[in-house]
Amino acid sequence: MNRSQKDISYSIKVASIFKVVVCTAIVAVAGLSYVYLKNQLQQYGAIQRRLEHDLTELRTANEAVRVQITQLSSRAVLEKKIARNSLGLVPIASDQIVRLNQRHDGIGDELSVVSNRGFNQ
Amino acid sequence: MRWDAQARAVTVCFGLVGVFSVFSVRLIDLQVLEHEKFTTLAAEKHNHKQIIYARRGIIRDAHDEPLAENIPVKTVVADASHIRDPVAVAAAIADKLKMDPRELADKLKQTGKGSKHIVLKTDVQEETAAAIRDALSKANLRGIYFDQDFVRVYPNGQLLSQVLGFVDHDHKGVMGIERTMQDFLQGTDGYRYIETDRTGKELVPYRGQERPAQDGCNIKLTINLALQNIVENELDAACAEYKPQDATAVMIRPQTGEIIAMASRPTFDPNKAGEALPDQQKNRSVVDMVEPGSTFKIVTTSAVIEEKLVTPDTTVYCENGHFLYAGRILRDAHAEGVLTVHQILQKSSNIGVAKLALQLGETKLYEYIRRFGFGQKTGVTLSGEIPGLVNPPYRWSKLDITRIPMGQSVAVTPMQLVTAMSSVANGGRLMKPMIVSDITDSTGRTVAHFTPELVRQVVSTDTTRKIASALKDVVSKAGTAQKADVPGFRVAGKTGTAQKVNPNGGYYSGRYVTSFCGYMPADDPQFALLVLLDDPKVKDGIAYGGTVAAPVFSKIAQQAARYLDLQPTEEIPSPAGPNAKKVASSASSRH
Repeated sequence: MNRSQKDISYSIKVASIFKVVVCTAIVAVAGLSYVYLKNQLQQYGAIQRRLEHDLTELRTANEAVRVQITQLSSRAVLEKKIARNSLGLVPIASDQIVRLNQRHDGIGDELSVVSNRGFNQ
Repeated sequence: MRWDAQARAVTVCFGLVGVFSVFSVRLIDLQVLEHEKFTTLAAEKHNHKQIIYARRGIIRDAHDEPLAENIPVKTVVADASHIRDPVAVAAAIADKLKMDPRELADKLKQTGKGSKHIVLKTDVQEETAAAIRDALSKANLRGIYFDQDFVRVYPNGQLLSQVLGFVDHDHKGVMGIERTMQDFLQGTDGYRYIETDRTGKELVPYRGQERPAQDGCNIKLTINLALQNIVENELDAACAEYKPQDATAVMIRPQTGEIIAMASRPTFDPNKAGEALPDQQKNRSVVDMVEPGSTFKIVTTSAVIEEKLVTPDTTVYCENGHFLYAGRILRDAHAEGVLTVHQILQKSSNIGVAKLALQLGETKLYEYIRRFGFGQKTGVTLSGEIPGLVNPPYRWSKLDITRIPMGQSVAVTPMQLVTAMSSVANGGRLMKPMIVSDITDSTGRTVAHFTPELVRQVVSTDTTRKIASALKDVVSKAGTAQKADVPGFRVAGKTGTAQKVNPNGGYYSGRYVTSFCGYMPADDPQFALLVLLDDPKVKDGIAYGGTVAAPVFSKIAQQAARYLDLQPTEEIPSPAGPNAKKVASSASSRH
């Protein structure tokens, strides 16, 4: 082995290694981020789906309850209840009604009895 | 060749190349050559078009009381590809679906053979669906899914049933408003393309094209449910008392043609439409026609006065109850001598009105019949309306000129009759009857607003004033409809007692179609009402319009006046008797 060959040394190219490491890191981070974000997307998708489902269920339940209220307060059901509970409701006789009509002669807002004149007699 | 290291390396390399080449070929086969096939397969398994169902519109009355609503329900569906243990699934849900576990298990097993999806049960309540979900979740089972659906409900049951109609299993209106307004009520279903994972859960990030559902429009009717209730209750009471073959009542606002109440008997519950007989489903106001009888006399008397052939005071000799014409004798219920035109209407003289028609002539009579709207559809937004039957003069027999004026040989619908009476109450203006007042979309925006529509001026206001004067006297001691009287109010109207037509020809003996058509208050009509009872049974004597239908009118009108808060203009007899309290005149007269 000659002298010149003996003196050859291979220095470590820090810059190149650094470049490779950085590039690899960037690629790795990008890849991991992609996976992470993709995972997040799936998770948020699942949350969105669940919330949409809950909202739909709530709306449906609300609609069902609203219709139930409508049915329970319908004229037919109320009439049946009145009949069943024997509330004894009777129509007011015509001679028990006093009509108060607002005056239209511009004098004032006073109310006057205009029908059933004999009511208080 | 020596089996040295180099040879072994080359062999391994070739082996690897060979293996990877096989993989590559398979990959190319999968990805390129059979791409379409496998894409389609994947799409079939994981991509679905999810239907977003539109909600059917709600029907309300004039005061926004709901008449037709939707109850949300679920359709239970099994997916074979997700069910591993059909017996366990059946055991978990059978009792909740009220099904036999064995039967259900067999059904679930069948889902694997051919049909992937199978509907297990429809119209399942929300609570039941939630219970099934819980049971499956606890047992860690899957494969049962729920489709959103709805059931149409009518909160008031029988009330207004024939007007509202009902829907079939596909939510299509079968009759009534549900049918005529189908295009507005149904809405448009939306859709969404979704992708699911192997467990059937949607992968939201891969959602495809989406179109939201457009809910159906809401319909507001002119019907007033409170008045409808009054009408139906009284009609029920009349049916219980007189046991007619069928009965009809229509209440209309004369100035606008708005239908306030409309009922027919027999009736049905639209919530149980499947159990209803065809006869119960008929809205007789528009799909049935009858010979109107004496209520039709308003046509001839209006015509002769309008044509200035007579005045209300013109006298007509009524032949003492026997009038021979065209070889047949025409009779009056009560023999009358000389009557004025006013009295002919008041006393409902057949002979008197026949003589007026003879004076008018066939052509003119036919013209006025048509002008009053008979023989043609009124155009109301109700399904199955018929035009009635009014033959043109060239098809009349010699006798018809004397029979048609008293409401024989013509057939009219109750709707036409009350519309014609309304035109008299409305100064001669014939209004198109209307039952839908507004159409709004699901956000409350008005899509259509219907306004009253004048069909034509039938006769002059002066003529109707003269006719109204006679109609007021019909509801008096001297008239035929004293029982239509409403304490505190002047009522105008006309009775009708027509012999019932025998489909085999001629008329039934002793069977009548009785009616009363009137309006109230006579001087400022707030409603016109027709009460018609077909073949009522009375204990003694003949069933007349004045004795059967007029009292029903009176009862309805009394309650309607109270509900509408109409101010009495007449003396109200006190229950005590002669010491009746005098009701003061109306507010307008005092101010």
